[in-house]
Amino acid sequence: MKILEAIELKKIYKKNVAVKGISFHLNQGEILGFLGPNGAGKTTTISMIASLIPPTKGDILLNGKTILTNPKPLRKILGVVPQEIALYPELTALENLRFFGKIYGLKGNKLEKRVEKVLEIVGLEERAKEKIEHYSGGMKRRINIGAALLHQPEILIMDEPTVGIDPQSRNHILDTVKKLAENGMTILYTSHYMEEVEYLCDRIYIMDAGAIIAEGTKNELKAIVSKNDRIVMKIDRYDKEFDSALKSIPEVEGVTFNNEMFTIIYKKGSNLLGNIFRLAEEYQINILSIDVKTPSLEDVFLQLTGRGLRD
Amino acid sequence: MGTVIYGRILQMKKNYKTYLMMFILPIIFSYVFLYSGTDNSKIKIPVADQDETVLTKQFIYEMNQSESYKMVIMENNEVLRLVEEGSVQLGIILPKGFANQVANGEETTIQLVTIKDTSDIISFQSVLASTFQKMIGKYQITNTALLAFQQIGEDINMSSLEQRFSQLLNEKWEHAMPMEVVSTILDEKTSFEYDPRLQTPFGFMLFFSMYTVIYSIGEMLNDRKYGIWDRLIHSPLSKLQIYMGNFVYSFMVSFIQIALIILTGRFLLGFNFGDNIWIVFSIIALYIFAIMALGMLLVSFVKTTQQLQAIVPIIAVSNAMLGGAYWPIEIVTSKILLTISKFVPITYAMKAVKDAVLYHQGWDALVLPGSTLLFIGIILMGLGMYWIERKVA
Repeated sequence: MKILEAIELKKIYKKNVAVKGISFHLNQGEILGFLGPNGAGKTTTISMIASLIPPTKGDILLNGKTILTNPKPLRKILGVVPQEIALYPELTALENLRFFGKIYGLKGNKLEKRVEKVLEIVGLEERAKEKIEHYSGGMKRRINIGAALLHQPEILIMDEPTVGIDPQSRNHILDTVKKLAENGMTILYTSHYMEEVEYLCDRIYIMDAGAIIAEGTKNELKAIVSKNDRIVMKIDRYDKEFDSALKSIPEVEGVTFNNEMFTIIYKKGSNLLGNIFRLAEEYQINILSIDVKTPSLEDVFLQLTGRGLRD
Repeated sequence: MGTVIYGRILQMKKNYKTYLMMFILPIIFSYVFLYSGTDNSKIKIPVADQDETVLTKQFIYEMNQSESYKMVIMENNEVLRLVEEGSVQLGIILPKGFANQVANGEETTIQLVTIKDTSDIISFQSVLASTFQKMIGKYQITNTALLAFQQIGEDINMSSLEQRFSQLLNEKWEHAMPMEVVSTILDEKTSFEYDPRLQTPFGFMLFFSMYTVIYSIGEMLNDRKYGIWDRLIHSPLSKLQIYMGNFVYSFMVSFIQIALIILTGRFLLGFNFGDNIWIVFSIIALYIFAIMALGMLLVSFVKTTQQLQAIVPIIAVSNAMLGGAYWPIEIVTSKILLTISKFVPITYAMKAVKDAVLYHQGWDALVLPGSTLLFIGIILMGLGMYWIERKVA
């Protein structure tokens, strides 16, 4: 059942079109993923849904009713985890949570119980009396999520909640998101980390340059590249001409270079390895490792845009 | 609204040292400036008293009663040195035999030590002459009275009579004068009453409070920086509640700061700000509202607290200079500056305070300046909020 729906949402800043009239919906109880590179328009879309900024065009419906004229019903059931750490650094985690609980009308015993519960969810009960400014990046992110959970929202929007943190904190956050969804919360999760979206989300929208370029379940999206295979190759040095030569192979659908690694999407069944070794010899490139893999969501993005998610 | 204030108070508790300084330093500086200002407002005149008699001491005492000069007793050489160095424009020497000359009705000489004649010296000579005349008058009246008692043979202690007579004469002199000459300047606009004991603490109080008001309103910029503003916006709180919470907090802090300055002056330092303390507090309340609105306008222009911190001193100092917080606006003659001062909230606050305390106008003092402050506040607040909201959208 559709709980939230965006219809032809558009946002224009002066001459810059940040979001180009996108439509999507959020079903009750699902984790919906918004995957896209930085600058794709994910945060602007979220800001419009959270009624922080008005759309230039389009509508947002909550259970079939517009929230543009009266956002109050949405605000009561919505929790937002912003991309930045939106906490008072000089206050303790406990004081921050009490404050954010109060803005949702919680008080007294109920407030204290919710604060206690949220600290348990984010696993920071023992560090609750420490100031936020003394927390590590991962701990800040966890309290940042906690502050959005105090009023037990029905819908939770999470904007890149794992940016810049250690793997341990990331795993904790991903597990927390899974548990929240298991308990019936509807979650809209944005990220440019393909693995996170692939791990968490039931349905996925892929965004690029302010538009939705693909949508569906993981399997539906992967089907886009089911006729393809992927080669991940590590080389000793980058050579622009070698890059161009790879792209000019007729069977190749897309090439990206990141962290000394080439990712090459090509038509299944093609004998590409021979061509790659020949070009490496021609351009005097040493191949340090080479791996043939099945396609991921990253490959879907690569196939659709010709670029990598983190380019 | 209450929750926003609760959040601010939590932050205040964490930064209590800053707030303590914010409350205490303006009190100290307002009154330090007052004392230093009062002292400096008198021109120091070095005096060498070679005669060292009761009469010369009386003369120095009388000179010190003038509003413009303060006599500083020192050695003869020191007086000459200071004048030669140019540290002072002039000095005076009361020569040996000064008292005898006066007692015998002989021509009396007071040496004026100076390098060149200036209008200031002429003005000092005039004060010197009138003070001397006044003192001689008292002296002669006393002596005549004593002579009269001696001649009719009254059996009284002449020494204590002289002392008491002289004392009474000093106390009653002004009231006993049958006629008083009052100078009136034809252009009444240029005539004004100046009381540094009012001007300095009120001027500095209004000046310092500008920082407190604007910086406390500027806390909203930090909320934006940390993303807390967005959290507040997508909560069930209305924008009006969020703004009102910030305004009430800013008003509270600023009002407490100003009230502390006034109450410290009144109850600890014995300053009399007039009987109408509630009128003064009402003026202050309207002034804070106008400055809060100015703060909102500035917040709408800048993006960070650092930018605000760069602008506020310029705005506060120029406002204080234009609005008569540093010095009485009545001494400003430039028409351009006087026109600009009409757009500055501090002008109206200073005027209302003076009218209430100095001219005892009661609640009437509040009507025109108060409504102007309210008007300025509403206009600036409207513009500030409009631009902030436009920037967000």
